[in-house]
Amino acid sequence: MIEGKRYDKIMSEFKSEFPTIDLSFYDGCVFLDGQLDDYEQIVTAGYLAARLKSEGVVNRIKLTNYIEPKMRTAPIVDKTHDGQHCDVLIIGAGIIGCAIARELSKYNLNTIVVEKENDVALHASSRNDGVIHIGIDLKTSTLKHHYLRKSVPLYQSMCEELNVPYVNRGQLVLFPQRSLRPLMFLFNRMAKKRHIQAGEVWNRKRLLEEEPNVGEVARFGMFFPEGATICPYETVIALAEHAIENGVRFFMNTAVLDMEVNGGRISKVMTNRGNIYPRYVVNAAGTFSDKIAAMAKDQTFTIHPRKGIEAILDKKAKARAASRSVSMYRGSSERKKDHTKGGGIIPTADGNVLIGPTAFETPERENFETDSASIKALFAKHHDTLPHIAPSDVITYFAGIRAATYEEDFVIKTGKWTKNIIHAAGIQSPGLTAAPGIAIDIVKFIEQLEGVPLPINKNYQRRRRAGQPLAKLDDATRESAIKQNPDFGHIVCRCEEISRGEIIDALHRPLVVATLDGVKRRVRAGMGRCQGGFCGPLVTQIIHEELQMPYKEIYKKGYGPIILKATKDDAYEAL
Amino acid sequence: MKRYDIVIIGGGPAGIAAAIKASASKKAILLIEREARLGGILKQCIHDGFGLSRYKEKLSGPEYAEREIEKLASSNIEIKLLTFVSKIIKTDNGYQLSLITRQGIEQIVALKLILATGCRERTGKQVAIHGTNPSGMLTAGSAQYYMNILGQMPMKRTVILGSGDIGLIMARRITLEGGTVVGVYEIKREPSGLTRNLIQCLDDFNIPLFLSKTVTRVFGHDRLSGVQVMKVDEKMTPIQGTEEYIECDSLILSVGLIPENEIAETLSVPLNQATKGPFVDQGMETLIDGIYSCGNALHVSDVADMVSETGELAAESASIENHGNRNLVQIKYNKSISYVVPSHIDFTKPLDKIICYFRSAACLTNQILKVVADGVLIKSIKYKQVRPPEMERLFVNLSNIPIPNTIEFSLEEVA
Amino acid sequence: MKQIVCIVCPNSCHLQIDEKTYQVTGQLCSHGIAYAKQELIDPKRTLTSSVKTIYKSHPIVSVRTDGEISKSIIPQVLTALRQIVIDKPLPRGSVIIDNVSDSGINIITTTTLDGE
Repeated sequence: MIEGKRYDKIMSEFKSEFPTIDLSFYDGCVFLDGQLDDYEQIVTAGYLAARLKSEGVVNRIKLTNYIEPKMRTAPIVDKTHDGQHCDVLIIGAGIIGCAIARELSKYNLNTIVVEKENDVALHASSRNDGVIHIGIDLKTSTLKHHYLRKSVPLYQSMCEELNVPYVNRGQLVLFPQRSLRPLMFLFNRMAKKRHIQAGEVWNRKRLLEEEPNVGEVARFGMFFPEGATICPYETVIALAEHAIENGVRFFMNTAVLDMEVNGGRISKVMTNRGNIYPRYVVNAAGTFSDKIAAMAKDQTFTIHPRKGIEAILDKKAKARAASRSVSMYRGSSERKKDHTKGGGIIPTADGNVLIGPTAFETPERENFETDSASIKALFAKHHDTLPHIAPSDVITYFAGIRAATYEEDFVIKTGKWTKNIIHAAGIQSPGLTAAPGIAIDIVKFIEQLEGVPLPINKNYQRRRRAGQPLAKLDDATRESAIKQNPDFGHIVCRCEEISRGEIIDALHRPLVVATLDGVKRRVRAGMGRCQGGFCGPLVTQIIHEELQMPYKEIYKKGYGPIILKATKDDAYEAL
Repeated sequence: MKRYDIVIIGGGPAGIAAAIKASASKKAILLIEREARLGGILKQCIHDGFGLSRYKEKLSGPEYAEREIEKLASSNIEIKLLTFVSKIIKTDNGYQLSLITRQGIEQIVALKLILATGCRERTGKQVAIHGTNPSGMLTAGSAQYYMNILGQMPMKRTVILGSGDIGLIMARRITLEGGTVVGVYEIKREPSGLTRNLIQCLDDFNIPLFLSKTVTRVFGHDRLSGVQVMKVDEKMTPIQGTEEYIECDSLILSVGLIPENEIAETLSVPLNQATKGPFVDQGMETLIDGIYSCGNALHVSDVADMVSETGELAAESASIENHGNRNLVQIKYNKSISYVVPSHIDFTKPLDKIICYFRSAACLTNQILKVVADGVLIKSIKYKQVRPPEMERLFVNLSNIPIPNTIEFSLEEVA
Repeated sequence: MKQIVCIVCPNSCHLQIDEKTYQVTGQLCSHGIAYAKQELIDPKRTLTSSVKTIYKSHPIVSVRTDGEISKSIIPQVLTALRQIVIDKPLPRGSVIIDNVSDSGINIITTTTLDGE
């Protein structure tokens, strides 16, 4: 924590700006209590308290007249998992939870992952731009920087083992003013310090040769050859499947509701599907990670959710966009305003163009609603970068919520007061990039807490058993697959060229999620230009036939049925 | 590698009609269809109104399709079902197609192509519907598949966005199967469907039609629980303050059809922005020699009979050996016309009975259509009323004039 | 005076029919006169619908009336259709309800059911 004059200054600033708020200290952390009428004010109070650089800010200020929505859980209450014992219980199956699960599967431990949704990666992990960042703008003192550096060298080989795409296209930053040119040498110094390959400076002429669609405003650019994109949900599904293949169990639709903590240890974790008895708990619960920490009586941080909206453009817009990730340089004052790098226009690993994200504070932890003003704002924001893409190119849009702490950094540490919890929380960008490195450290922490080396899983299979989308294979391989199984030659999703065989396979994988969206995320059926208009009913039919599920129990997502009744169920009532 | 004179891609009504006509030519013809049965979208269009001109009967979609398919049975053409065109490239001796089938991958060569690839539906995200992403939002065609092929209802209480024919047809179908249609909302000031459908599908069941309104937001996390509708201004922009919440469990989207021309674009066939289909001459030949377009891929028609007709025109034209360069004159049209098909006249092709289709740009009454070539009046027709949703068809004879520099269609008010 | 829009052809003539004299005005052809009279006395429509089958590969088969029936009997016809389950292959045009509700009109299938 800071001391002396700086401490006094912040404390007096706090007292004058938030006279009704109680700021207290306990065991190295700052606690804020009270009530305010405006959510933005609550966030500002948190940021101000964070400047004290304590061990963490626990912001318990209430918002007047606001009743926090109940956390969404599956409409199931039973005892399916009651009495389960395990060595490690991972809470949350986003990229962090699944990366940790996969890392733990290398050891002979009884590991369980609980996830409240019916599939992995349904929150931030599937709602992002898939960028593997180089992190040139990260302060080297942060955990964000530390874990990014640790993870980047591991990423490509991890993707190879998982058999998921890793597309290295590099990152291009555009600069609007010639006067910033001398700063380029500073950037390369920053790059060198962070072990990032130096960027090439491109003058306007070279810029136009490489990326002819960049706007007039871009006077020159800096191209960093490292930097890649992955398909985020595909990667998380692969991590989960690989973990399952190596012995980890995933309990879906299972939400942690409370915990029993005795003598500084979690002894029991209560879920909607029974009580679980873990020796260690890993908190990878995203926007709910502070709540989990509180249940474990170990909350030293607070999540203030920050929402962002992104849009996906038709593959045809590629010709008017760029072949690399492009963004416009934002000065540090601009970045401080909303704590994001500003996003950009990114060619995704699947061949679409993604534009985004926006950033705004919200008290809601899982409200993924989009709005038209945000899409307009996106295009306005990036208009100077690539002026030839337009809202008419948009085929779909989505929202994500960052699990930001007031320190704006990751929380990767063992419990302060509760001895058997390990936090992998406060994950925001570059969370996707930092996942492999974080997973390795979490396992190290567990080993340290155990006091002895963890037993190795001698049967660990390094490569995940998975196929590639057939449409991407060479003809000879594809032909032989079809000869073995004619269903691979029967195209069902014609926009993305996905076969019946691949859809059926998706229903027999290590983690079966028999919903339209679950199939979509695994094989891309429904992600093309018609957005499932043709193949949606066909996939529903396949799920019905293949798994013998009645139509009324087949959902699009979560617990949303597609079919409400059969055509001859109700009578027509003459008006 | 097997070679064909003509390959028809798409076995819906356009492709089938093209195949029947082409089979008369004794050339090597192949009809490719990605589904297990021919018929295209007609298989799920169980309502009637098909075949009024082609069969002088009021048939349902499946009947119309089966009648057409039966004519194919006696022909010599080869049909490949469950066959998907994965790649198509132009080579020196024609077009090489990569076909994916249950037996493997097959390469074939075609001298000429007839593209009968139909159309797809516009999605909710393409009309800026925001909010959550729940189950219960379906395009009308998807809902129609669930109801008419699988016998399942994806709704109990629905709002329909779009007063085009397919939305109106679904309004009736849903009501007859015991569902409730709260209302049909149309963003334009005028309804989009055929008048007979407005009467038979909405008035008959007291289903209200709201004009100048659109759905802007949906609610419900896993399943739709309601929608927000708003009034729009003349530019079709939602007016702040007019938000209205409607409780429902389903939103059916009937917000437009988009011709499917991925293959045409791959082959650099120029597309007409007005129709979203290729530019074609009176023989349905696109601006790329040897590639023909027909059916809804060419322009979205209102009735299957006209779709079949364009298939026949394409096949007739494709069956003729080419005699060197075409002589194309583009058809111009005035502001009262939305588009004319064909977009060009080829003066090396037959000119005496040219079939032209056009749509008016607005609902107009007491109009006269004039076809003028280099200032000479070729044809004039009076119309008591014209509406954009009701496509008009006429014959034009350009055989008695020297090749003109300009051809113009104009729709004007009768003096 | 009742206002009726004729749906026989795309002209969609706006007709007026006197409810006492049955005099029709606004028509462009004789079909309009007949249509307006029928609409006033006993509106008739064709009905298209579906019936269940026992076949998983073809769960329902589409049907229609082979002529127009009075709107007033549509609810009864729909009720009758709900009771039917087709359990054998049928060619297109097969009669599944003969002379429905004594109307002289049959319900016929409009798709061939091959029972595969």
